[in-house]
Amino acid sequence: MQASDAGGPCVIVPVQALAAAKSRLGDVLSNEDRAALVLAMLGDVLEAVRAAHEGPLLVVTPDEQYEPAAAVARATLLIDAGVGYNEAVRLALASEEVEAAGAAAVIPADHARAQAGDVRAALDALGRHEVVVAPSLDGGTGLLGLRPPDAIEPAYGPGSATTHERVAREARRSIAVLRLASLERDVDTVADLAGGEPPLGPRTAAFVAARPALLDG
Amino acid sequence: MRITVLAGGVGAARFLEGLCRAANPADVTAICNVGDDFEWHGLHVSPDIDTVIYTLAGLEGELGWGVRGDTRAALDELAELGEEPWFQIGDRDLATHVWRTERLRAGRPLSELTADLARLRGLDLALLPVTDDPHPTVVITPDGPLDFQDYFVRGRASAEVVGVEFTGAASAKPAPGVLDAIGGAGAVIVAPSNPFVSIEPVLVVQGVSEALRDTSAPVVAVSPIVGGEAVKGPAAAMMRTLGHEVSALGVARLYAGLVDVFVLDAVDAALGPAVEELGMRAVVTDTMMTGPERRLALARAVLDAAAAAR
Repeated sequence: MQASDAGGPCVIVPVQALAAAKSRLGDVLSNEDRAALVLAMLGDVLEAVRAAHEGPLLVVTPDEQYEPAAAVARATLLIDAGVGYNEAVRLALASEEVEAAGAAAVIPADHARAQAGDVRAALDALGRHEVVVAPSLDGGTGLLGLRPPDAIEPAYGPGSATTHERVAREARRSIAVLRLASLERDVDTVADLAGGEPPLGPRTAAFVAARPALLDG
Repeated sequence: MRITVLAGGVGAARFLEGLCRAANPADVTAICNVGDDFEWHGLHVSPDIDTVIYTLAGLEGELGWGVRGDTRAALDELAELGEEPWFQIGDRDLATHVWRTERLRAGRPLSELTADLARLRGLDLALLPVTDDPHPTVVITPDGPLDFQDYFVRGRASAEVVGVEFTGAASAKPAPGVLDAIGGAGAVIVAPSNPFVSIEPVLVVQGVSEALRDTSAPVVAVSPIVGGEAVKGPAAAMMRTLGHEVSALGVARLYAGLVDVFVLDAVDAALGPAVEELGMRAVVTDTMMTGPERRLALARAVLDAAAAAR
């Protein structure tokens, strides 16, 4: 039908302060490399979102250093207090952008394999359901869609996919649970940067390719 | 002109039957839901594909599914052996499942076997499962998830549905030909099928939703809800419990952004302007496919609507 997705939900990408993000990789990466990786992954996630979604896009973070990365993707930077992931998501859900859109989808910034097709499938499902959950393999939530934005409270943390599904069920919210390959594997450890399908986004893949010793260690 | 239909079960089969008389069947491709597929006593059953094949082959069962006039000797024997006959597979129908399962076990993909079955039944249309991969639909009830046939047949669709889960959406790749059939079509038609458990499982297979958005063909959907009720099956109840208005307008809202033209029944004509406000053209016609003539007339009306939208 040759549609353009001009409106649609507001997509929210939360990311920790550059100095603190992905601290579990601190043993194997220098601070400089760790920051470069976090920026690469954020860039890949934002690019995948933008390829699927023309509408509002927020990067919520306590750190202004993400401004250029956000600007490239025509995303708005929303500064939070840096007191926790759920708090950051809640702040974004209460933003003007989300209120105007009437719906929101949260994608963590470390889903470096995110592909536009999967993002679009999830955003489409949000047109039919009040809550959309794309679980990740570790039990986390690769994408959380909410329509309206307060359909359920975000509950990020271990096992959050099950929690989001249960809370939606108990609240009698219409829910779609989609297992989407490119949103199933986030990056927490060096092992998560190994090859495999679906591939890492181009920036993250280039980061790994430039450090051949990384995956050996 | 190539015509591609996204299809569920009974409603889609009846629509396709009319379409294959309104157009050259060799120009028609049906992309079928496989979310209802399950194993029955070790046999792979593809209810939507089989309903389409039997209907188009002139074997349509009395209730829309299965083979007309089929006997139930095998079911009765299974009951004798102490098996609960909760899913009705007739004797002639059984042959299809034996034939298909044997070949699936030998490693052949469902898409090839579906094409073979269609040919063996004398059909000229191209019939494709949306994916060759396992892609089961799970319905979420307040008490937890239920496999589709446990909900639909064993539980007689009585459970409250608050959600759907597609556990195979990560790995299900479109079957060969599916994306080309959408991208290369002159018209794409969303059959009057259940939006949540027939059409949505087709849309969530990798790339299908995108192909639908990107195709230059007009996309025409036919409402499965007429006068606030489902023509068949649990679509109305499901719309209610999933928080949607139970009307053709409610269905149109579900498809907003995906379809160009929405076909609704004459009894729902008053909803036309509200449908058009969603950014799609509303076409009002008789959509109740209660006889061969009405099926043909609906197919012609849908093709005309597609032609007008091009």
